[in-house]
Amino acid sequence: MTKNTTDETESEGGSSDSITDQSGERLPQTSENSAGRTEQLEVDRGRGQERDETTLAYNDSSTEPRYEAMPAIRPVLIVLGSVLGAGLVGIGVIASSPTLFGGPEIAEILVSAIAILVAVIGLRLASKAMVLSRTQYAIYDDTFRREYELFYRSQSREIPVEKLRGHEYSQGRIQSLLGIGSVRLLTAGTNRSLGFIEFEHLDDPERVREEIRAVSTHEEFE
Amino acid sequence: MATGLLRWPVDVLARPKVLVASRADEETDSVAHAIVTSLRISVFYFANLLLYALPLTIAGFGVVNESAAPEGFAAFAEPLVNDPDAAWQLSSALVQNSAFLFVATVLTFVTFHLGVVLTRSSDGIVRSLRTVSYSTGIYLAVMFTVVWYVATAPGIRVADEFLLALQAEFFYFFIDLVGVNLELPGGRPEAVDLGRLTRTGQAMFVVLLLSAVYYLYVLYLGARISHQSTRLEAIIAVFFVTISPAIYVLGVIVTSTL
Repeated sequence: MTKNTTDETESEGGSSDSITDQSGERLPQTSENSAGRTEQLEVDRGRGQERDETTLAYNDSSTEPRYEAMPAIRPVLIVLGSVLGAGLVGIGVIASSPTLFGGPEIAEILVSAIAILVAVIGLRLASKAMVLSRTQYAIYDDTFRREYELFYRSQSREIPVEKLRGHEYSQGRIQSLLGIGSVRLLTAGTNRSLGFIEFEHLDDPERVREEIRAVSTHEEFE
Repeated sequence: MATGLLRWPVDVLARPKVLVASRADEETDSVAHAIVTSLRISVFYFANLLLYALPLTIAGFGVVNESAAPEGFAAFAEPLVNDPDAAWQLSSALVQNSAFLFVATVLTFVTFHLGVVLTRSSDGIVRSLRTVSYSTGIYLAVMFTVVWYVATAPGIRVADEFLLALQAEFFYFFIDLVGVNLELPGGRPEAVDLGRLTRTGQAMFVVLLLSAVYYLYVLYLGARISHQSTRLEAIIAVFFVTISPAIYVLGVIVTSTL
């Protein structure tokens, strides 16, 4: 069973129509609320320099990441090994007892089909492991980034912190055995071009969640 | 666009999840939007159906040369084509060649959606429509194409006999189960000597088997991704589809004995 922490998403103010203020009370994300926050910021600026300095410290577009990591590929390799092993066992059973499956000709057809299927799945998992080994996750003060470079082809996906509406933590069976988890960062509804970023197979998912909470909280102050 | 065209066969073979998930989160928030989405999915499906049936029709399958066009069709077609009778023959053959795959698609859709509804995991008919259009438009079409090729290729005789025997055995299993006195036109099939199976025939069976596996797997993915079903619910939905040939055969047997 895959364990998903979706309550965490809501408590982080992650639903598409709500955010969590500093007291933990959920507020509707309406234009009124946005206007209210703007007014609050203006009042703070009128009071003095301290808040502006704090705001400025987090408004600086940081070039140094707060957190960087690469995904673990052990879960993918375990699945790959399992698929290869199951395929070999299946082929071995059929090859050793062809009469059970209707004769040697049908057994040969079944063995060929299993071999092709295992090869396709194996190649798919191997390429996924290769991509993951060249992937990097980074959390900055103002963005979340996932990027990889492979065979002279690079891809980078970023989400501004201000667009983050929540995050979802999940942990599959194999991940659970290895103490690994995945975190999916969610953005709000109508602008479908942003979508989400997934930080897969993290060795320290709790640290990532803390960093997400930290940058999200500072964003709310702004 | 070129990259997308090159990526599509890779997705079909190695990443069917990408096909199913590409628009799985698209919401149909109004009846009008649902209708428009359904029409778009249907266009994709019928385009695939045409890709499957058109080569068969052009090759002459289903074409009856002596048939004349009905008056209404002739009146409609005369301004458009030189020979309304030929147009009618081709159109009829196209419909006939599409019929089996279309009926199989309808059966798949009904049983699949019934499965997700009965497991209370349905997120709407449009999502089932999308899943079924991919699974039948691609993988079931491959299966039908293989069966057609095996039945018509001159060098593949044993594979053709074996396929026919399998289908007949399937019918007779249910005839014996129900206990009716029914005979198929060819009678009970005799055992086929598979020792004479050629490499091409074996390869065709491998493709047929793999297409069937992919067809069922895409339906499973459709239930999991589009309907957010659990593994068990998705397996039950696919189970409904796998028993649909049995339901079809039982229906044929019952209507034949009425």
